[in-house]
Amino acid sequence: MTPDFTGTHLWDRLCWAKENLEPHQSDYRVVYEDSIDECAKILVPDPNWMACALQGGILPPVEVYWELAKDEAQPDFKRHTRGYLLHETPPVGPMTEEQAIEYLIMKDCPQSVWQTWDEGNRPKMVICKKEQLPATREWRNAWRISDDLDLAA
Amino acid sequence: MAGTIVADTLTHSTAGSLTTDYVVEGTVKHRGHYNQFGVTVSSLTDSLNNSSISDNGTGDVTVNRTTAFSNTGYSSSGGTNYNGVVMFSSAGGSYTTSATQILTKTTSTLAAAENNNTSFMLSGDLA
Repeated sequence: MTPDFTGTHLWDRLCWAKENLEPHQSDYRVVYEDSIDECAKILVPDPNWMACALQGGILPPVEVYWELAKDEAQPDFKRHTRGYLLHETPPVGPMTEEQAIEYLIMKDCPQSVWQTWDEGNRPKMVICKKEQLPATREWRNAWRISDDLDLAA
Repeated sequence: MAGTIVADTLTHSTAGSLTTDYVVEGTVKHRGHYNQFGVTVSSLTDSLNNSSISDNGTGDVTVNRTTAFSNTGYSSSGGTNYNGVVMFSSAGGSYTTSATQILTKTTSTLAAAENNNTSFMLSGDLA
């Protein structure tokens, strides 16, 4: 049972989770391309973070991260002055693994990727299981999302 | 909260005193350990305050934090296996309050390399 973490510093919540929750290694991977000049990148969820997401009552709403990212994008940014949003915004409840992956995409992938992932000639992002990735890292820097990808599959 | 001790100063019987600011501000706030060699995609073996790792290519990952630093003046250190070096990208890469790009290279040529047992520790003030 998660304690009532409302108003508790997020760092303290993470320390509690580290001590009390079993890490969960998700099989989901997110393959995305944020530059036509670079190879595909692969986002791997952290097992301790995933445990927090599944447990609920620990992580802040993802919109909090967008607000902080907006602040940091300002040309005169020196330091965060709205860090309290991380700690004082009521935490979100338990998520399914799939909901957690969606949250993570919106938190850790560039917005330019996930907001328009299916616009243009080819998808910029794919969620897959790790078994669907190449078996070895051969030619890793040439990996791209396949043009023949069947998005309906 | 139960079990809480509130103190601004720690005093040793002979060695003197230390304000708890040293403890709060000096503690490592984001750490992790991952492998890139011999695996399909980089995977974390342990971490704290890490939400995900982005495998950007050979010897190139970005680690993402759950709770951000207050500014980009945080300190970074890391290590990797015996024939490699770890570099933290600050120019042209990700070195924000919420994400840090880590490059691993061979010691001899500084070519990008997929290494084992890469670890990182970042400390600074949290947002």
